[in-house]
Amino acid sequence: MKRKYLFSVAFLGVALLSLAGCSKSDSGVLKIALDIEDEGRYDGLFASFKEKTGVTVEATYGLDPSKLIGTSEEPDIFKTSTVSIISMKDNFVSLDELIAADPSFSLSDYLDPIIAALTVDGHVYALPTSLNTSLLYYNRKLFDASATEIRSALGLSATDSVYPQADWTYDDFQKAGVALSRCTGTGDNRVYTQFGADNQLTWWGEWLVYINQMGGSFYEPNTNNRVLAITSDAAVAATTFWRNKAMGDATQKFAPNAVELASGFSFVNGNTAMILGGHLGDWYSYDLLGLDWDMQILPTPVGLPNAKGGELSADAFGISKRSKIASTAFQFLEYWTGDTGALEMYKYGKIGALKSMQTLIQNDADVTSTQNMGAVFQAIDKAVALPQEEYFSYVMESMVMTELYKLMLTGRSAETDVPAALTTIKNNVDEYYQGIYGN
Amino acid sequence: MAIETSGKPLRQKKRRSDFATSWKSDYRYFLLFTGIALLGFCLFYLYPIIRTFVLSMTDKTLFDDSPSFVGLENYVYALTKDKLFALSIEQSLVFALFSGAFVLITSLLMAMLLNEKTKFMGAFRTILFLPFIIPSFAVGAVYKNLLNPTTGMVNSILALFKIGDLPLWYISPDSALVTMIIISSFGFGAKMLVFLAALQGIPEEYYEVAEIEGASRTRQFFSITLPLISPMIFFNVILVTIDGLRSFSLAYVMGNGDGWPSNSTLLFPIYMFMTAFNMPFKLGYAAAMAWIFFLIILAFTGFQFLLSKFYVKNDNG
Repeated sequence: MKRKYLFSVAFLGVALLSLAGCSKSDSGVLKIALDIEDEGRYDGLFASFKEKTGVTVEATYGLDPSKLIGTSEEPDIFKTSTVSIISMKDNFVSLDELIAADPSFSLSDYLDPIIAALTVDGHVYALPTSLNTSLLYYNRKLFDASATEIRSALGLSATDSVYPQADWTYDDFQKAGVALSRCTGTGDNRVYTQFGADNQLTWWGEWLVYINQMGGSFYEPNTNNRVLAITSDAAVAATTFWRNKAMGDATQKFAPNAVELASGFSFVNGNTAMILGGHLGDWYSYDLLGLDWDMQILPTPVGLPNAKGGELSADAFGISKRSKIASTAFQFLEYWTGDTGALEMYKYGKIGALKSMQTLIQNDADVTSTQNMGAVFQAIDKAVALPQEEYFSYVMESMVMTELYKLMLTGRSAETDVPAALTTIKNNVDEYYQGIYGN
Repeated sequence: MAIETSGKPLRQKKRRSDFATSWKSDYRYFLLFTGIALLGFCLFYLYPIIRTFVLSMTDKTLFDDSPSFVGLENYVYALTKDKLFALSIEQSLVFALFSGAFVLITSLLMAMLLNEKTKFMGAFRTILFLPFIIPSFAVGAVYKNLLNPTTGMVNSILALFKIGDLPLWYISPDSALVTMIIISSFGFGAKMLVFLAALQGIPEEYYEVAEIEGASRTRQFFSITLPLISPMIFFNVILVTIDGLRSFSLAYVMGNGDGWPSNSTLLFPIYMFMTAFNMPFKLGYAAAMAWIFFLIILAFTGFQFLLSKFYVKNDNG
């Protein structure tokens, strides 16, 4: 009997020990969920972190973190962004205490608008790893091939550069775009084989830039981001410019409409010469596809040389509320988003959200670029953070871009009247917000 | 009479006792054979159903650990304020109705063709069944190429006939849902097999007698074929309705996962998925929508059971 009792106790002990081994409290392993394209990229960074702290970083790639929540595989560190932090904040620990406990860490090292965007109700929930801002990307090869036409359209001399310049206006952008476009046939029978610029129809990254630059905004000021301002004169002018770029006559059109877009015209396919807005995360793809590309700051509307810049947003990582090793996780976040991590990420075309990023790149002999990196930092200085509103992304994708799409088609249900389309959107979205928040 | 009145309870008692004995002796086999299935049902169906109902009464988001109880608020919001919910339900019903009708008609026609006695029938059956086993994701991707308005093969062929305005197919909000209905109507394989089995079960003699009596092929179809396969028609009607209402993968591919273009391919399952797993990750609300939709499907199925009384002929006449 006594032996049986001892056996039971021993069995229970072994079982408990095994269970303890399975739990997440192993402070020697830090789990992180990364995108599929990041596979293998940061192994060196993980190794140097281990050398420094003795903590192993285990990464999963391409797994949807939302599906790992509550499982034994749940990462300690999750990806979020300045746009999604407001919806995801309940999943993260507030970093305030961890920041306060670390005298070597300073939030002021990061770009202020990005930290502001990652702060909800006064609490910081994530640290930024890489940022995005709007730029004008161009394909040097296509510009070189159309040099004569561009010179003629912009009145340039033989020694002037045909590439986009920092002082370009929308007018220059359009004239160069038309000069870069190629088509057969005339009038309504034009069939394009190359376009001057890309067209973003399912993402707000281009349309919203025009609105902000023309002096408009998406939300009415002082409405807590719940009433749209897209029927303003500036928004109508911006949307009209955007529409004419794809649907105008031969003197205006230089971008694919909805049908042409479906036929494979895009900057990455090498058959459109520019993309306004774009994404810093696409640099790696441009290189991978062998595009001869460069970038410039955004053109400005005619007569508004001091117009606002484009969008400023960032990818960020937060620490899971259920992590048992939050302070270790914070240590890694600090390391990753700091100088060392930022330089490592820069190798893959990612720009850290540090104020010192430009200096870091300039001082590091290992990282060189053939692109106009100065334009990136000029653009960041002028850029505007996206509105912090829980439903912003949903509203944009499901209610705004869906209606704007109809402006890029001809046919029965296509919309040709820009103010009417914007009014429809405003009414729908305002009603939606009233349904959620009340009057 | 006395024997009858006293014998009846005796027989019942004996039968009950037989049943109890066999139940006891067979009980372990009953448990053995159904236990795993019952466990699976409880774990993977019953629990999620109950859990979804509980979720639907909360404001839970995907990342929220402490949701609040909101009662019927999610249901009321979906039914009274959410325009996209109404649109997705409407489009799902249109899709289910038309795609279901197409699939039924096509599968019956194909089954009748395959019921003929000609050479290479095995090959024909395989060819016609093939589209059914190809995943919807692949089907959608192939059709996107074929139906591309400018580079697709379909419009290139139509252009040969000098048709003025060629259709924009899945690119235009006007025609995207119709395009999806057309594509889905090629998924008739399983229903065709059901019809084929039913057709092959009809005795040849019925047609021979009808022919001797001078009945035309049309008359034979309406008086013999349709009544005799009506139980299978009913079975297929239920299947295609539920399939159509739950359709996800084709809509996901054709509509880029978000109802593109302009929400015209936003079927209910897509909208529910977007609501739960895209920002703002409203799991509780998506669960409420799922329950409303479940009730709609239940109502439709019930309605079809009622309708079936008017057209399904069973063995009892």
